[in-house]
Amino acid sequence: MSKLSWKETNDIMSSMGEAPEIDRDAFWKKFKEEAEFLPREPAVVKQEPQHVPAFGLRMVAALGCVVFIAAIVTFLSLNNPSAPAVADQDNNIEAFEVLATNTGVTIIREDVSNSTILWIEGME
Amino acid sequence: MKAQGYLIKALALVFVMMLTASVASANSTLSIRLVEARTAKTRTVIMPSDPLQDIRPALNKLDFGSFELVDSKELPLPGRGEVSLKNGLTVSCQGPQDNLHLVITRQNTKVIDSKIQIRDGKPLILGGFPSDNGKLLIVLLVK
Repeated sequence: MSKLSWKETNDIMSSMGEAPEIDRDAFWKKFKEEAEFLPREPAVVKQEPQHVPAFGLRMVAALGCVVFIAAIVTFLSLNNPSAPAVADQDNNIEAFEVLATNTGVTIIREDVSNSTILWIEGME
Repeated sequence: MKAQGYLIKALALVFVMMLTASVASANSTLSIRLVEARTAKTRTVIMPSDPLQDIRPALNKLDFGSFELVDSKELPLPGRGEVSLKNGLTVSCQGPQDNLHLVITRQNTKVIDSKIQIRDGKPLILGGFPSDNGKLLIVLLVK
């Protein structure tokens, strides 16, 4: 495609002479009549930009979800019927030291009353 | 703003749930009773308001004639405190009930230093402290 300079373009257009006169009203009447038969595209509805929460808010929401899941897990573990209930276990004396003078220590586990007895003999 | 409102409500719900869970797991109380076990057999009439009723099956396993409540105190669990009982005895508790550090002193002298796991409704009896009429027992029970 050749590229014309502005001067060349001006010269060509000048040599073409005056543009023929047209009837404006007739032109627009014909234009409107033809436009009636043209398929029309649906009107473009201007959509509101979708609301995107701020980054900080999204972070808080994510943190909230994590805390929520942690709370659910904690709640379920506290109420898990398959976990051994603390009440089903016996008392346990893991370690003890008797610092008073004594002659002996006896530990008794009594099943009927579910009790544990630590008895110090001969304590002074 | 609507989303922010929902978020605040969700966080409030989580907070309430966590608070409920923590309260539910920390509302135990350790009952500490000082009981005198008497050698002499006395006629004991057990009344419905017997303060030792819940631990009587355990006490009856001990070879004594009768039992009498001398003092009674309570500590919240997890324990972090000390109670003074009559006869110069002091019970100090520290920690949760499955890892409770228990120290008993008598006249400001440490007598027993122990680490115990104590279960709900199961008495733990520490006995053999000298008394004029027999022996003194400290009965621990988680309620």
